[in-house]
Amino acid sequence: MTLLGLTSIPGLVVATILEAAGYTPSKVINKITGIDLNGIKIGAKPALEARSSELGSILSNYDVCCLCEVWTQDSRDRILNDLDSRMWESAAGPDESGAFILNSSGLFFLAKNRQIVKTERMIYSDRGSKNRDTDAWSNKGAMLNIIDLGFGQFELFQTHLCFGGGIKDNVPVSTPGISDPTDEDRMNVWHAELAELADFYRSHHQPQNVAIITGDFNMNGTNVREYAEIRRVMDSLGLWDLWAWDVYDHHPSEGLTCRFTDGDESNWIRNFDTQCDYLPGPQDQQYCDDRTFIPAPKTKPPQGVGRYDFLFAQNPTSAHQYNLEVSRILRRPFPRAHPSDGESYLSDHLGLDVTLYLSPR
Amino acid sequence: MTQSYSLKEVRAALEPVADWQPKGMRELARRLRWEQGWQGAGPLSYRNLKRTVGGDTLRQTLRAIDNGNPPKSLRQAYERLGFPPGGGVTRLPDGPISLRSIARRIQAPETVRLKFLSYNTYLLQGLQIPLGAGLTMRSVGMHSLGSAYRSAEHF
Repeated sequence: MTLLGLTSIPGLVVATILEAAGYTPSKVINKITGIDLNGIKIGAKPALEARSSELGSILSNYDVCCLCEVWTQDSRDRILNDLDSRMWESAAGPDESGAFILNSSGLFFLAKNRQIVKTERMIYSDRGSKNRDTDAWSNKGAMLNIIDLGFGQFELFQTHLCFGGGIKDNVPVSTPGISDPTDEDRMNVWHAELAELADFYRSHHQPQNVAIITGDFNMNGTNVREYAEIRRVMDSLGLWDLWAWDVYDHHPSEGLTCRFTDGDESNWIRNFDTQCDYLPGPQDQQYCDDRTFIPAPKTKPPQGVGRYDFLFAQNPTSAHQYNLEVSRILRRPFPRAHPSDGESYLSDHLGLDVTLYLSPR
Repeated sequence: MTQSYSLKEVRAALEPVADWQPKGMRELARRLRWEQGWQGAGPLSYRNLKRTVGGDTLRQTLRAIDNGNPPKSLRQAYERLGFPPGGGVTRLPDGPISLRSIARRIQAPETVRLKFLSYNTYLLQGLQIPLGAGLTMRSVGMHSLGSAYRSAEHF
């Protein structure tokens, strides 16, 4: 196995004998610890099929959607079922092909009444470690879709970066070699992935087009070090964090985009009450009150809760064929009309809802 | 024929909630992305710094950055953090900006309006991770039956 780290050990002879006798490492570990390494099970998220079936009608109100965590063809089909195939085009990100890969990139792009003229895909080469990070079992990466505007082409890059961890939580007892990533481990992976994202952007971006980059970066805008790293890369590409534009009096450390749903299900938070002051209005049009300064919560949000979802827009340049203007980003919770399996919302994340205005120069 | 534009509609387009709409022309103009202008991240202010690192007083805020060797000024604090706010406020381009030039970008007939959503859908299906599939006796480095395996950096 070239994938594997080979340790130099004095017991190699024992190992060779055991292997020849038909004892796999999993069997030995299972015998000693009772842990079945062949079957670490990670449960499906609640109301999976119902929620994916409900998404299509919600998304039909949009013109362009950049989605993360649409992992399977079944979920994509359920979404598309409620979208008029004469109006909508779609593109999925990198699939689940490859050795020891269980999941696709989860990236999914939808465009209404706009032709997707080009799609490019990329898988991050560093997705963490398979004994540590569930992300390493997926093909997380980035996707570019270019849509035609008539007077130019608009580039929409989307990504979902590694978060790390998830293996140790599902192993019943402490096991050598199975650990959670440290902050440093995570930063190293993000550093590599952001560099690859930047390379992907530079490889495909055309100067006459305006570009945006969006998605779940799994890096927390409320963490100074993580946000500074994102901005270091995005600033170098000439891309601007629209949430943090000072005309809105927002702050990078505010505007959390998800609730806590890690680990033991009994500890999950089932609503967005601590992330979102709901604006008055009908439930199916629910938005967060994102007008201005949002006081930081007195207690620090747990790991796994933060501002992970971003929308960066390229700064205007003289080479652009057209202008891009944007409305204020509103975070949107998407409550379900008929909650099931304890899920009152379509996702554990808030959507970033914005209107884009593209005008020829 | 001259296209007529509505300032009210331009405001509403850029700010979806009526109460939050920019009041004056200058405030409205700052909501547009001008090539000769500058999109700012806010002033180099204590308020911004406090929102970033917490603390109830300037002293506490500076100590939150480095308790042992706190920065001695706001500028030093921002430099120490490597944090973008403080990079300056949004600036408009030099020279006059007409209402028409603002409105055209939003309301001209040829302007394409796209309602956009970026969304993590949380549609993870169940997984069974075959950790053992990547293991061989050599890779795990068996010392003895009492030492189940040595850590492998990558399975």
